[in-house]
Amino acid sequence: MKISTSQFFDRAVGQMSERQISLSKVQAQLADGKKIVKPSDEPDRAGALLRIRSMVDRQDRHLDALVAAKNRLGAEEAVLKNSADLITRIKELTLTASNDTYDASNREVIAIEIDGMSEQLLSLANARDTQGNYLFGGARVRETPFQKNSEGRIVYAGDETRYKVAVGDHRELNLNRSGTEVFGPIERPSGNPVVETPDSVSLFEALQDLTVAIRSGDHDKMSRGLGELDRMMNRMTFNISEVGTDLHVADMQTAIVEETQLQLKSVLSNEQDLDYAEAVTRMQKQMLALEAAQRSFGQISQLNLFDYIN
Amino acid sequence: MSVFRGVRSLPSEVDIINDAGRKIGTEIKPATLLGSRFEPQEVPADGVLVKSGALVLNGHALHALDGTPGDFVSAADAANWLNSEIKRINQNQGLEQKLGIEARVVNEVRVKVSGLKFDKDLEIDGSGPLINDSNRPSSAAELVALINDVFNPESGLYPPAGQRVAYLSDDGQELIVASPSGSTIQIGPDNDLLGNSGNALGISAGILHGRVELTPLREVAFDVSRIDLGKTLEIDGQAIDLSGVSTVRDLVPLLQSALNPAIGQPDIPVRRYVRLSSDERQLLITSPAGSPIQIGPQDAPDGSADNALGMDAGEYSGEVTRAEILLGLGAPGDPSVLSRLGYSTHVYIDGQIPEDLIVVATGKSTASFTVNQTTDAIDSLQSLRDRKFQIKFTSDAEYELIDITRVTDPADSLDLETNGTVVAKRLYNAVQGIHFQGMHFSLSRLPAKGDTYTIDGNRDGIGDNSNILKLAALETSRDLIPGALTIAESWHGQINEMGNLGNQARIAQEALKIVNEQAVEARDKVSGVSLDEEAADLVRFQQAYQASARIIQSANQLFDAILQVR
Repeated sequence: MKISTSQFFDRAVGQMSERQISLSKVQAQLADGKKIVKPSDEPDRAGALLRIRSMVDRQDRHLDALVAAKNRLGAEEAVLKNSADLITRIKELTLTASNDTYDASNREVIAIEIDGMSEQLLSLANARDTQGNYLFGGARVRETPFQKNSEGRIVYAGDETRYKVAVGDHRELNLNRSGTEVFGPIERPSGNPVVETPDSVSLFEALQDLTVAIRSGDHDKMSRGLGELDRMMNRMTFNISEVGTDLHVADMQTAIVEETQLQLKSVLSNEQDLDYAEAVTRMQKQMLALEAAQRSFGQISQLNLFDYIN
Repeated sequence: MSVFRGVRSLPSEVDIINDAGRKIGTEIKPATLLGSRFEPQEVPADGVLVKSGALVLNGHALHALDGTPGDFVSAADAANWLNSEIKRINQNQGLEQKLGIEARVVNEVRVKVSGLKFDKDLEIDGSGPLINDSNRPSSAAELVALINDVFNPESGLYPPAGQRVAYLSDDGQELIVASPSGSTIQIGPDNDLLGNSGNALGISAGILHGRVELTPLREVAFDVSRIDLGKTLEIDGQAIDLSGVSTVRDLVPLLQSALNPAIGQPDIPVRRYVRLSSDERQLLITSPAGSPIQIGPQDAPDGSADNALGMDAGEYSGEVTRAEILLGLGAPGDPSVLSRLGYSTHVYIDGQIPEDLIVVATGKSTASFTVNQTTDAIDSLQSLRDRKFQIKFTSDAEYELIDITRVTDPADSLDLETNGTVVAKRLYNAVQGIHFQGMHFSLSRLPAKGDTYTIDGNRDGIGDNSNILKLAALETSRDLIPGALTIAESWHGQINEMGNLGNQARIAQEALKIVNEQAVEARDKVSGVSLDEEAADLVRFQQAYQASARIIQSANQLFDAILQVR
């Protein structure tokens, strides 16, 4: 078999460039730290990897949602606790005022304090979260939920939407409670012995009625007010425990999502991460081969019959 | 909002789906109005069956359908009347406005193959039992062959009018006995005493009348310059005698009469219209939807056309027109007029209806009503949101539901008024609450007389994230992509496919590279230059030269030696 000179050179160049290519592939793998640099390297595995990667991304989003939900629920919890404290304080003051030893001026002082506190309660009911959205207005987050109407009564302008946030593949977390659920109307006995069903009165109106009763020293109405305060307190406690449960669920869900993510990431790492020892060895081997090819080419190409002809 | 009274058919675009479930194009399904079976009707004493102007076809009022009192009007008469009206309208129209519509009578009997009773006899048009004990068929295909044999002894020919053609539907589920001319089909033998069917088709015995069908025409254009009157011509298998025809203008009436031998005869509808285009450069022959025009005789042995029209032999069907067919009621018309032609009257309302619809029927005779609506689910939700309702308790237990949407008068956009329609008046049910058009309204306490509630769209509820949640749920939804895949799965599938293709390309490249290398090697083996080989050759030639030179030298010396001998 005859090997022409140009064929010899072509073949040597071809072989060396093949070595170069496989070397550059290892190099790309080493630089990337990944087994698969492009999908055509291993099409089946590339698909699986993308699937796992998108699952990991989804868990990331769930974690983000959980953080946001916890912030929001924390804000609600703070408002609810403060409201509960205020109601407790109003109840103490009412009990004091119902003491017969208190005269009109003493009661006036107490009434003024309760007035201030119900103002405080109103501002808590209109509290906003970090994004400036009202906490207790349902979905109408830009509208002050509790506002005075033309008759001077405080009315609810929000709605009853309860929104949820996805915090897991099949888990949604309740994010809010509407204004009616927290600061909505309070039951008031109708006073009519025939009609069994009780009437209801707005929470803020009930507080107003209470200060009027304190100012006038009306003990019956004061004790009615105490009953209403109890019901307000019950409702606050109920809501606080609901928020607490939601927060607890959020914590548990965070743990679950983190666990899932850890597991997914380890699968991902197994599937995609490069075995450096193996890759470096492979690179060494290929470098050696390339070097041998280059060196042998240098030597063989030197060989020329003309050198021996004088 | 537009309202149309009558019956209409619009051309529709049908998606063409390939086996893989992908849409590969669209096809136009032409508009078609098919009436119900047309019972012959007696012309009343005043001689007018359909009053002039009672019917309006695509905006053109139709003249009266009249006859001699006491005579009966058949489906073919009605179709002839419609066709003559179309012709009359077209005569007054410019080319662009001509109605491309034709009326014809179609008549066919469709029965499910599963309902065939092969143990029973069959009579068609009183032809005597088609089936008797000697030829009882055992399959639908045999029955089809039997019917066709009886009516078409010379099979393969276009069935002349009055004949019957039987065939099976494409899916093989139905057997169809058709009357090509639309004439009535009589099915026997009679039902038994209990009224059960006694024939092989399993249908009630009796006379089945044709239906009037309005279809858009298809027109096939033949180039006048290619017409060679010296050659022969067959259309729809019928030889046309061209002797005595010298110009294309003469050809038109000849074809018209040859193709429509029965013009004027009530039983046979007009099959083809022949006319010259206004510039006399094209000969136009109509082809009613679904029936292509057959041109013959066969092509010459060399494949060139051998007929007078200069076209290759074969079937030609024209372009499907996008014409819509609207058969509406004019001022003197009422639904009974349309029902005489076999059509039921519809009221088509396009657009959004801001109010509830109430159908009120007056008159003495019976009528049946059905209501269909095609609504967009999102639109209905949106339209509900755009409306405003009031619930007003007129007593402790009764309430009124009032639509208080503010409507804009189209005449004056500034004139706003409240609708105020009472849409419902009901007794309050404390357990079930109040339901209206998908809305639910419940009260936690008992209502009292005078209580009023207003229901309005919640336009400020911008904190509601349910739409976003639905959008996010699209990620795992399997309804978006054919084959029940999620978006991500489909995407991963695409990447996988690309990777596979890339891999295949690489393998193919490697294989081809080797082939290429071998070819280059083989070529170089023959044509390439090896320096070593050349050097060796060089040395060999050098040595040969030296050897030759030495021989010359030796010879020279020999000569010298010889010459020196004295």
